[in-house]
Amino acid sequence: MPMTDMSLVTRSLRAHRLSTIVTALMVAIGVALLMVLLTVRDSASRAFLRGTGNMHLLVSAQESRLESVLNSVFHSGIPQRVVTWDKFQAVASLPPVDWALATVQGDNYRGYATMGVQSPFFEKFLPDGASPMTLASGTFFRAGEAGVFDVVLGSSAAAGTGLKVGDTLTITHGTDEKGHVHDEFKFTVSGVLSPTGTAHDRVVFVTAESKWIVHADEFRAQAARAAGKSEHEEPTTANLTPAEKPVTAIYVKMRATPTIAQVATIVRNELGLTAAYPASEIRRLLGIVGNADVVLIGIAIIVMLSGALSVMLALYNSMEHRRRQLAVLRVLGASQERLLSLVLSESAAIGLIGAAIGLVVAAIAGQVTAAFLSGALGVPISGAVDPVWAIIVVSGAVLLSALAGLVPAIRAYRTPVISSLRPIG
Amino acid sequence: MGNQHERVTPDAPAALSVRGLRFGYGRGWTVHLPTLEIAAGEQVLLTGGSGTGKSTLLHLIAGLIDPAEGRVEIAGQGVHALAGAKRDLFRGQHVGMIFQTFHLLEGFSARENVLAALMFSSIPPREHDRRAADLLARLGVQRIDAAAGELSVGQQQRVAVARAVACGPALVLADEPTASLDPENAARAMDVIQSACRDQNAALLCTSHDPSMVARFSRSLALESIATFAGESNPQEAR
Repeated sequence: MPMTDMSLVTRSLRAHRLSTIVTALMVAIGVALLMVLLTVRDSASRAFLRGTGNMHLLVSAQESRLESVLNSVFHSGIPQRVVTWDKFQAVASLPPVDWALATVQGDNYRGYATMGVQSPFFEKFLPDGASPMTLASGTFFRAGEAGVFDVVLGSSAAAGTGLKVGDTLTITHGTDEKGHVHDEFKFTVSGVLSPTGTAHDRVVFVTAESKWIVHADEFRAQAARAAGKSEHEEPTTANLTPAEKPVTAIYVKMRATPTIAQVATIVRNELGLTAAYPASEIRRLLGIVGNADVVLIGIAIIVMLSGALSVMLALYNSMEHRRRQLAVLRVLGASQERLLSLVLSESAAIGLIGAAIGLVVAAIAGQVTAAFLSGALGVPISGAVDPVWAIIVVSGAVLLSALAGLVPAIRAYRTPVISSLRPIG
Repeated sequence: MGNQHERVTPDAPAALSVRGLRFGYGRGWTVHLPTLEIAAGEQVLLTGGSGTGKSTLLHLIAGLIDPAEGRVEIAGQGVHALAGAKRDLFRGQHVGMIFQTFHLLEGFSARENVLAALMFSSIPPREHDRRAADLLARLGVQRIDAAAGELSVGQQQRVAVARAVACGPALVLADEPTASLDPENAARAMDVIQSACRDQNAALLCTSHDPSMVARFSRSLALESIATFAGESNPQEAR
């Protein structure tokens, strides 16, 4: 094989194997750190923004808008205040409102949030903003009394609990002071949803009516005891009173977007409720978290810079040992510029090797971090490396390493030929 | 710039032509060399005590340093008229250099040392491998793919000679090539250098302070006799 500049560079990288590996690893750490942070930040933002779907407003009785969104869209925490049935109906009947969906949150089932919804929820609400929830198996809530205790599981909830269509589960609600269990209600899994890539995948959906019946049963039993009676009327969908139908949040979509602010004003001023724009609340939250991101990304960039610095130092030091070799190349016909470009190519090659290792590490670490964060935040976060970021970060690392090679390259450029070739000893 | 494979003909330009060269050397010393001519393929020995500026003269001829005044032509081309990369390339293609310590590229095999010289030649790359192997074989290098540092001193010298003549130079400059060798090995080394230059039609300018070398050359010149010195003290004392 004829000798080329490329073979001189690879030869030199191999000759300084240890320093090549160590410096490439320094670059790799910076690249991997930066890639993981950028990947997770972007996919976390996307995951959070995705979950708000096609709703325009989230109406609740919560004081904090952000908290109401976290409670009722991301199922983190349980709303402390409720909206009365009358007010829900008032919201639903506002002329600009296309649809208003009542949600009733409360208990967890084996760590998975349960949310009471009414059937139109699955048809109207598009969790990713584009398509409605679809079934992986079974059916949505059956119509009428037969379906009141039906359960539809989000994909992650189904996978996590191991429940499948036809399985029954018991949600026991509350115990009295003597510690004995109240009436038990048996629920049946009617369907399992396909993944939506949103927080709704972790939800156990029950009917709003079942939530109300379970609560009403408890209240009626307490009232009966207080009145000295041993029996109380069993609650049914037909005999529930408006007071027994509290709602924790309302998903609202307008017929036309320009009316959103108008409805929000009516909800706040005339109904005394909280109206939150879910997407902007999430953006606000991400803005706050974003400051932490900036610090982390700053640290990653510093790590990358110190990687580049180590490339510079390693090459600079090696120039002392290579003076003779560089001088020989000059004698053989290499120009000063050629030596400059050889050293720059060498430092860029270290950057490229480091970036390649960093990408592989990022691909693995991204998945691990994403899996951890998905569990911790309850939002499905993808750890897949974004190709655009990959190109930007890799080019950045190569460019930075090449720049770091500039100082040693100038030293190579200036290598004095004659004094470097004096007989040794 | 001449063709690499051209044959030496009587009317070919001189391998080396030096005119009115003046250069500083040592502590305030100036060497003045009015004329020095070496014909194509001619072999010339340049003697002189150490410290007279023989090495500096070779560096000047190779274009590694600039003279205060005067002209150096190799195969008809003024060396110092070329600047920067052009001069480096000209040196690579037309001047071969052999050093007392061979200065082989560390970590490179014998073959790769020769290939590295060919990198800068005008010989098509596809011919490099064969040319390197042929040259090394002709010079008696046995393990051409062994790291140069693992070879015996004699073998290393042969690699250095092969590298110097690889590009088919008009002129080979050998700076005290035998200074560190015993007489027997010195004679063997000179045989290799001189026959390689003859083989490649390269002129040879060899410096030595060893008087026994004179017999090997058709022409030998003492720097003291062809140049004049000006300065504070005797050149022999200027170390």
